Amino acid sequence: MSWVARNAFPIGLAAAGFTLASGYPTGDPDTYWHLASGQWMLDHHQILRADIFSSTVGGQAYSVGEWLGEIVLTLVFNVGSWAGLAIFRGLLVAVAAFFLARLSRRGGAPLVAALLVVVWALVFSKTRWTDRPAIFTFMLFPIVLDLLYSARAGSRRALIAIPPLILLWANLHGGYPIGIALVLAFTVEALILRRPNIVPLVVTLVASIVLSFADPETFGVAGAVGHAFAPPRFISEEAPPDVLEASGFIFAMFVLATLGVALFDGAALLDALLLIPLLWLALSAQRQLGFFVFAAAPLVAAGAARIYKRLRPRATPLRPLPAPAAAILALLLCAGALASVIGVPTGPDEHAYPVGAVAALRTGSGTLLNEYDWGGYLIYRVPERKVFVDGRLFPFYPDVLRDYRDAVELRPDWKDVLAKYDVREALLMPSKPLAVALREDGWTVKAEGSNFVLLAKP
Amino acid sequence: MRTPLVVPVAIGAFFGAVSTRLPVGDSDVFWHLAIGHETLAHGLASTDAYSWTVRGQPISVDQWLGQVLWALADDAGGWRGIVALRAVAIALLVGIIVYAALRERPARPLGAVLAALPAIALSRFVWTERPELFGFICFAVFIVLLRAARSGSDAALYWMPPLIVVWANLHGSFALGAGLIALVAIEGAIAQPSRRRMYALSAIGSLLATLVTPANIGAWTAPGYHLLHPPREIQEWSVPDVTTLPGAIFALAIFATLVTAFFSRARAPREGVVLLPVLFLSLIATRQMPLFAIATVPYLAAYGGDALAELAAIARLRTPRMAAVTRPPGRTVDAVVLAVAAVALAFAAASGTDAPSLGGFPAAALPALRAGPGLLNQYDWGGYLIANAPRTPVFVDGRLTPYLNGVLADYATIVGVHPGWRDVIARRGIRQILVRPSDPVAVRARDLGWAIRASSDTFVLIDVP
Repeated sequence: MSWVARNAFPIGLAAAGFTLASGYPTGDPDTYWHLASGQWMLDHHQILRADIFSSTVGGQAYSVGEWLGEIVLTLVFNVGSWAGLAIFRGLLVAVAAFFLARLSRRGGAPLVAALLVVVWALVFSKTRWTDRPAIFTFMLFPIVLDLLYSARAGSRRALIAIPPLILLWANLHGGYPIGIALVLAFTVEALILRRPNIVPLVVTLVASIVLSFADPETFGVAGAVGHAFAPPRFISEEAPPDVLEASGFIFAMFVLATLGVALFDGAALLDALLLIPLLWLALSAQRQLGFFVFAAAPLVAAGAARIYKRLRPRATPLRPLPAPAAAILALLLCAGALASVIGVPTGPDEHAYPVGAVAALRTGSGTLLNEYDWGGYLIYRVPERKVFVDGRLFPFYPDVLRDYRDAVELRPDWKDVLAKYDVREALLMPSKPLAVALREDGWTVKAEGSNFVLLAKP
Repeated sequence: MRTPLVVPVAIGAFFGAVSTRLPVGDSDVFWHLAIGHETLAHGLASTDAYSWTVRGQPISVDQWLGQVLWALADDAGGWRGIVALRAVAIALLVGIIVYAALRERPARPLGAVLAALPAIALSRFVWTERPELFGFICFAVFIVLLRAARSGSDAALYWMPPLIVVWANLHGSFALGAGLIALVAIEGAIAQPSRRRMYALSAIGSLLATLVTPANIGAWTAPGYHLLHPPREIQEWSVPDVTTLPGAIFALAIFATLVTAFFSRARAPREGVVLLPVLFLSLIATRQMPLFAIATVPYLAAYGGDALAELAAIARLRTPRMAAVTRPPGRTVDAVVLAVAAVALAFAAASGTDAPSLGGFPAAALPALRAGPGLLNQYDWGGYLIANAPRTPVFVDGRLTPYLNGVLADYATIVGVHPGWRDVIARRGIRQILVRPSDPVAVRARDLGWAIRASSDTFVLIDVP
């Protein structure tokens, strides 16, 4: 009970995080091809190293560096179906929320300030609660950061946990270089400040780097860096953050809060080593926003509390809940989270997909040109048809993707592209120029819905 | 110590002179010139006379003074006159940026120049012959006045409303100044109770000053719309991208500010009143990035050296000592440098660019354009056509706001070959299409065998059957 009372805040937030994250159906287009890849690996007892899903790069070697993440998600799905995935997602978000809550008080922030900051950070991070291996990075980032703060405060055990976590991370998802970067930041700080824990940190850093290569299909740090400096902008999550959208706005508030707190109170060397590279990463692509927001949480929460105290020195500080009451509140939230399992969605949300085209696709033949965002769905729902492109991105980069865009956006060589791949059918959004042109050119409409049209060459 | 003008004037004149070697011919300059000439000849026009899609409908007149200035430069010297005015404006902008930095550390000109570098570099991307350039000058002056006001100068507060009057008639970015003076007045009234009245008068005067334009309250329409609904499909209104050169410089300005705030031993919370809202505004769109870089210059100049020294101390490194000026140059030297700079600028303008760079415009299509309504033109070429094909009114042009009532949507439908594109062509009565060869409508028109009246690598002019 005393542990619960001591950790009532992180436990309560974890419970709330679980309830929120498990309550909506999956809908990410990449979930499908990750599940298909995972199932293939489970069926064949080997890692999937060459393309088996597309007509354009079939048989070509590729790696997305996430084999273990795909297998874990598939195992969860095989046990609990779509509801299992939702519950698993909720659990991972709960773990992330738990460590984020701990992080938010690392700077000595009072509970209210930490709560406000964490709630905003969690609301912001909702866009990252996807059923993809990327969610492991979402969870592992605050864990490794919290461990590093613990180590900085003197815990040797915390450091020992990091290399195995990096090993796990490297096999779960390609975002692991950010974990190594965290260790590097703490190591550099220790080196500059000549902290006594410099040797263990250096050992941890070296071990983390070495272990990250123990990945049978490593994506590589160089690959991650290259991706960060040249993100494929036509994918929405790879676009720069738009501060007039909800998640971008919250990110901007964290940036402003960081600057505001620093103007009031300054910050430590470690804050600079962590936040400035992460801010660059966040500004480079929307999918990277969360790292900055999470890492800024301790500074912002503590700073906001200090500023409030300075502006209103006579304000009576809120008294913390008595320990038993805090524990009971946390347990009540946990009970609520458990009860919420009853309402977990049992199927995916497929309203954005061409569900009405599936039957017609099964009767078709020849090369299918499909929307990029529907590739994963088709791999899973219509495995008998090979896709043109899908969310795996790297196998198609750059030649197939260029051809795909030339065709779909009706660029001058669109007819050459269709001829090159001998495209017989096209599954597109009705608003796409190619869909309009093919209709005008007499392609047959095999199936049609409000969000799709399946056209066949006459 | 008095802030000597030698360094700002020299650096401003240098960049002004350099700018005379840059191409001229921004896609928007043509319609700004057309409106400016129209205003000089017949007074302010409050309805559209250049398009056939919104002809006779109300248009914004919020940049009339800026447009008139460019038109006067055109009258005085043609393109050379425009290049000369641009050079003077750039010299002013850069000079004021450097002055703003030097004012904080008059004895450390090198540090001031270093602090100003990101802003100067980023301002390069707004060195265009458009009223927007005057807006940036006003903003730079505003920042100088603001800091003077906050350090005790009542005169600086008095000067705010006149500045806003000029600014509001030059360019729509005046709204930023009006908003900031309101924030600063609130903060100033709290921090300096004895000056409450001064701050209040300045803020109220500035807000009222925004109404002293031909558009009155309507002057706020465009800034308000652009703030909340930036037209992302236009490149300069796109989201800042740090993987591009201007985006990287913008990021550098943010990082320099953060590092200074993190490590400077002297705390400066009041800076947040200006820096935080301007940073948010700059994060909205590419064209607004220079605003933050300019706003943060005095802060970097004032505290950057201290932050670097602290950082060096943390790292146990020796801090290099920057040369200090013990005796600033006198006013005579300032006057001499100003005169030399003026001569240098005049010489540079006289020998600089004297013709627009028209490689990106459809010059060869002009003879084949039909007179009267019916042309659908590429958005970026609207201004060029207004100036060079006056008998053929445009479908759209860079003025943007007049076309938000459905014209732009129809334009996107046709050019992008979206469903119903041919119906829109018929409904609008479009007879010719002038677009880039890679635009879907050009590709589709060729597929359909529509007659090509003229074409090049840059454009294709299609007759609609």
